Amino acid sequence: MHPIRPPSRRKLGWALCYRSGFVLGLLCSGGALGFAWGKLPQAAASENYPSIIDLQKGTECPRPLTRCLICHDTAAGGEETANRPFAVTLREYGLTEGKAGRKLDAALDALPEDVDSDQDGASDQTELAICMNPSGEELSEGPGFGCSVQRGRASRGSDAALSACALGLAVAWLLARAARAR
Amino acid sequence: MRRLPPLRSLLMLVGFALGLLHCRPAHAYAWMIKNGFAKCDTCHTDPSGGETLTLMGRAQAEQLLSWGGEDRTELRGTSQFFFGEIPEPPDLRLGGSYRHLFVYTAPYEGAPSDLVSFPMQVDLYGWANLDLFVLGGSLGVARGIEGTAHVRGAQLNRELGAGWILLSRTHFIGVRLDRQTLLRAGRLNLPFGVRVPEHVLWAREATRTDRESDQQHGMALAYAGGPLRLEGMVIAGNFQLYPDRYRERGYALSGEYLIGNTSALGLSSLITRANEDRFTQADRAVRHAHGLHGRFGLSPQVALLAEVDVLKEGGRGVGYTGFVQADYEPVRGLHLMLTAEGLDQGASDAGGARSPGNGEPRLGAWASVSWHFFSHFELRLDALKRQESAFSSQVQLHMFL
Repeated sequence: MHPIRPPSRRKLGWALCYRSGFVLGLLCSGGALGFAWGKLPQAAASENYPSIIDLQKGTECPRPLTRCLICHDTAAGGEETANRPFAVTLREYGLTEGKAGRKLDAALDALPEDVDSDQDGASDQTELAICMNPSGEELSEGPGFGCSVQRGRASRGSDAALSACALGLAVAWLLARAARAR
Repeated sequence: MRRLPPLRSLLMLVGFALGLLHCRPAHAYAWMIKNGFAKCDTCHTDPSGGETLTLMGRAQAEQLLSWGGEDRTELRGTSQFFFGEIPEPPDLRLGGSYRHLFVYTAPYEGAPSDLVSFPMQVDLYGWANLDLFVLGGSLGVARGIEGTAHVRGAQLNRELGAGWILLSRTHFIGVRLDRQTLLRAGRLNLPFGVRVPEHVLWAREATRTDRESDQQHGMALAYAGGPLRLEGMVIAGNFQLYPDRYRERGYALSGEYLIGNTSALGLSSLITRANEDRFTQADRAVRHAHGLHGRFGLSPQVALLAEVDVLKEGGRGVGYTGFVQADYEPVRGLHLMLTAEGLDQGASDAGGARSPGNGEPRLGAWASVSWHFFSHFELRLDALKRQESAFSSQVQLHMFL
């Protein structure tokens, strides 16, 4: 590869045209993608199952991501992780795959009032109606997302970790500075 | 075309010449090892690779990465940040990525086909050198990810619904202890395994070490000297989720040793503990991942990447994951890739039926074409079939600034 050479005036003219066209093309491509973004259905949990349950039961249960654990082994989801007792029950009522909101709706409609997947004495329909877990132990609140500035007893560990990081950096800086001075 | 200042041109040339002479390297495109680029910090500011490019990285992106690059005798102004429209100050490296993904999922066991489209990444990132210190980070946006627990680990604002979400995958401050050693504190990519762009590869998902949202806050020491590249990180937790009981603490480390100009072998280890696992709600969740990886340049056209990891997490038996990826570049800028992967997260201690991925092996295969059709642009097609899942194909347009 050779060093960058200054172009001739003629070349500069072409380059300016080329670059203007290029930037214009870039903006048009961005616009087209933006349009596609708005028009096409979005991914990212394409069928929001907790919302469908809320809608059918007339509830507004908190932390919908936690409720993924009613059916899945992990809140990260995935068809192959739908192994919890309530997921197994719903298969008998037609919910045999993921991304099928209508089938979930139909399966909840078809689910008899007395079915109790986790055998805890409360039926699945009852548990769903009061934001409980028909697959076993009650779910915890689950994590919240975004920066937290709340302080309290639970943040002692985080304070220690942050302090250790700051102290480590300061010591490293002093050592590097001393080494440089030598 | 704008002429670069002589000093910068000289620096770029010297950097390039040194790179060629010493076969010092790059990755994130880990297959770059076939061109003799085994280390990451030649082309990326991050010593373990990824995101922000150095001046050398800009030059390589033009010549070694892009379609027709081998015929280029001049470095074009458009190879620079923002196509050369915005000059970078001398001590500041800037970058950005826009990835738009279209995913088609074929009908499977009664489920209809599905077509979705979404911007996978809309990020700006940068790195500043301030005497002994370095400062870096990324800032991005996303929309409609309220249902994805994984991505939201990088969320900055408290948006709960379907609105705009601000993301910062990395942000850190660091100090250079010497030419080879960098100490950083902040939110960092976890040093583990092969740093590949396919963040949904099981090896990245199951070990929770992808570059999408698996970064954690902590302190990392990176060393790159001679044939050795090491990075170890003390994990203090992800401070972009709360409360504290969901934060994982522990360590992650990865080392790689060059066994030739175009081959490297490495090992990685990670142990974390959280009072409650953020995905499974398991109490006192201890997670292990330990593995070996290798990168081999078999010829100037063929690279082979491989990784195998042992997994162990609370409530499950011992499991494993791994992949092998072959990359063939018939002409500069066009990559044909085949990837085979496997996963068994271990059988659940609670009993129940074993299934592929849960006590039994689960296999997957990718066939991919990646075309770097112009400087700063990549068009990628993937066909993906995993056991117990529908066939899917993806088209991804990637533009980096």
